[in-house]
Amino acid sequence: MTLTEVVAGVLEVDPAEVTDESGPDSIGTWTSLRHLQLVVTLEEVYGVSFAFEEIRDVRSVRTLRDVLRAKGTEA
Amino acid sequence: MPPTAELFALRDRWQRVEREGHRPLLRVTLLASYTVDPLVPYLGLALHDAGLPATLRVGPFNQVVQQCLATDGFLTTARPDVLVVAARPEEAGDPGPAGAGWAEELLAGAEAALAAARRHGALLVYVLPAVPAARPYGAGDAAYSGGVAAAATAARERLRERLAGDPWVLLVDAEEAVRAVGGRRAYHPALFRFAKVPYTEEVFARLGADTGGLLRSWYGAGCRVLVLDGDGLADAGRAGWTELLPVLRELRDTGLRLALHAGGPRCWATVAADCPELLGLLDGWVTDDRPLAAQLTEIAADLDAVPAQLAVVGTGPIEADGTGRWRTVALGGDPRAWAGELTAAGLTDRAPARRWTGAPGRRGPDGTEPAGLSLDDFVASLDVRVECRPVEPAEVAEMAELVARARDFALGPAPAADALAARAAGLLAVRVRDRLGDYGTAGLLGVDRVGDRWTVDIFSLSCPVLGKDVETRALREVARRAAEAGVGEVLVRWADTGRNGAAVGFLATLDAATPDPAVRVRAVRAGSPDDPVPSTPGGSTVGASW
Repeated sequence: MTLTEVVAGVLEVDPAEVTDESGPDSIGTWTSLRHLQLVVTLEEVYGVSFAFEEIRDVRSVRTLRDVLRAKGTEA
Repeated sequence: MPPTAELFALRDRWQRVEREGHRPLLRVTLLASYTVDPLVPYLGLALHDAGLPATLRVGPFNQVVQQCLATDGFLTTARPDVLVVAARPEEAGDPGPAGAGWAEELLAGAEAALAAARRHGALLVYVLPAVPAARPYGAGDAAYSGGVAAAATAARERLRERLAGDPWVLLVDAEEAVRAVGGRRAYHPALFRFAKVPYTEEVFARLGADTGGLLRSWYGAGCRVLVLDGDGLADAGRAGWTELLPVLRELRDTGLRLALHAGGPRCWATVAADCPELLGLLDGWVTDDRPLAAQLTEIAADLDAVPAQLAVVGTGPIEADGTGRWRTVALGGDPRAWAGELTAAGLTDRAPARRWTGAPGRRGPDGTEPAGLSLDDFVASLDVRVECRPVEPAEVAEMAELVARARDFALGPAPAADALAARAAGLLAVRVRDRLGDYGTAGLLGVDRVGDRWTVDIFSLSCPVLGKDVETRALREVARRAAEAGVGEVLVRWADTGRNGAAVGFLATLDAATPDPAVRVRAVRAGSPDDPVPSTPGGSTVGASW
């Protein structure tokens, strides 16, 4: 699954709506609970762990991608 | 399929089901001591697949007792057919000796839930709590009779003892769900730390399936007849029957009836040769060349069932019924796994037969039943302590985060950290404790103190402290300070954010909540004709330090 597919699936939006700039401000379903579900799902899909600070600070698809890449994934 | 993808597919299917907008047959409401929202898609889907489409609504966080005792609260609006209640020891305060504290607290919640379910004519589904994972003594907990496992087990058994005999109660066990998933996959620290979600999606999926299975049985749609595909199963020879036979015996002992269907009489010779014991277990059979639907209709009629109560067990693709009239259990290619696969299908999920015996509620030491607990009694029993203190400049960032997350109880959109910093001297941090725990700084007040009138335009409380009358106590503290300062009026200025219904509802009762003859406290909607304050959210006047 790609990052976009995971984001779209967890947030229940069309993948076409998901861009690197997407975040809680632009996607209405990106609530704090869904944010956590998104992070936990990404951990499983990519086999990585997010630190509490990373969970708190990531606020867009781009920053999610950056964090995942910093952990050695091909997100 | 890996668990993530499987759960993803389930949630995706639930979204589609919701979009299709099936006419609901059931109203299901959920109250929990934790964030239980992740259960909704799995329970909703399980009910949909059982032919029981439902609307599901989640009540306020950690207000099980309050909402069950309230006569005009969430349950009155939701009018549940099914009330699902889940509470954990972790939110029940001190475990006490041998778990007595946890048991009393959880039993009080269960009693309130029973009363609420009866009041609304609802079926109560009570989720027995899992044994907490956190053990201060680690592996040594096993040898400690006052340890976490012992205390939680005692509390769980008290709950079971109270609820299990009631025919209007179904029990679901969160411990079973955790065990099925495995401790390492059942918890994720961030989920609880940031959102008070105690379990992973896998646990909620299992809980949803278990609850759905029991409800399906309760409403008469549970499996009553297991129909074996004589042709497909016979192909595996003696090895397959040897694996299945013990499980089939167990299922039949629980009351499930067994039948066999095949495309012709050829299978009888195979069964007789490979598993003659099966012949004595069969309650019915059809072996002819008619379509499966016709065969199942005949089996159902013979065994006094309807097709929806049939489950067809076979190998490979089984002819599915587009209308969902019967269930299918497709066994895999390895006969050695068949027994496990059949057991995992949960065909016998149902409450044991029970008869109402007038089981009494909890009794006091003298054997009498206590008078019904009122909401006011319960809140008073919490021994809530609210302290308001000035905010230090170094705390502003933390306060901004708290305000940003407190969306249910807020007077308006959350101000940014720099806006808070500019008026730090007018902020009061609200700390809350009660007998169930210390919630730390759980709220923030922002007060403009000008002349003979103070204006509260920031009043945010986090969800864990709602339902404890904290809002009244905090506002009384502002009124007390105003009175000390010789101020005659406190305005509480609010705006509708679309999500702050808890705050707006409280403000509607403000006169009763803050009866202070010295200071008039009133709510004003920002921008309304009654609003005497220029509309500058975030405050414009910085008063002296508190």
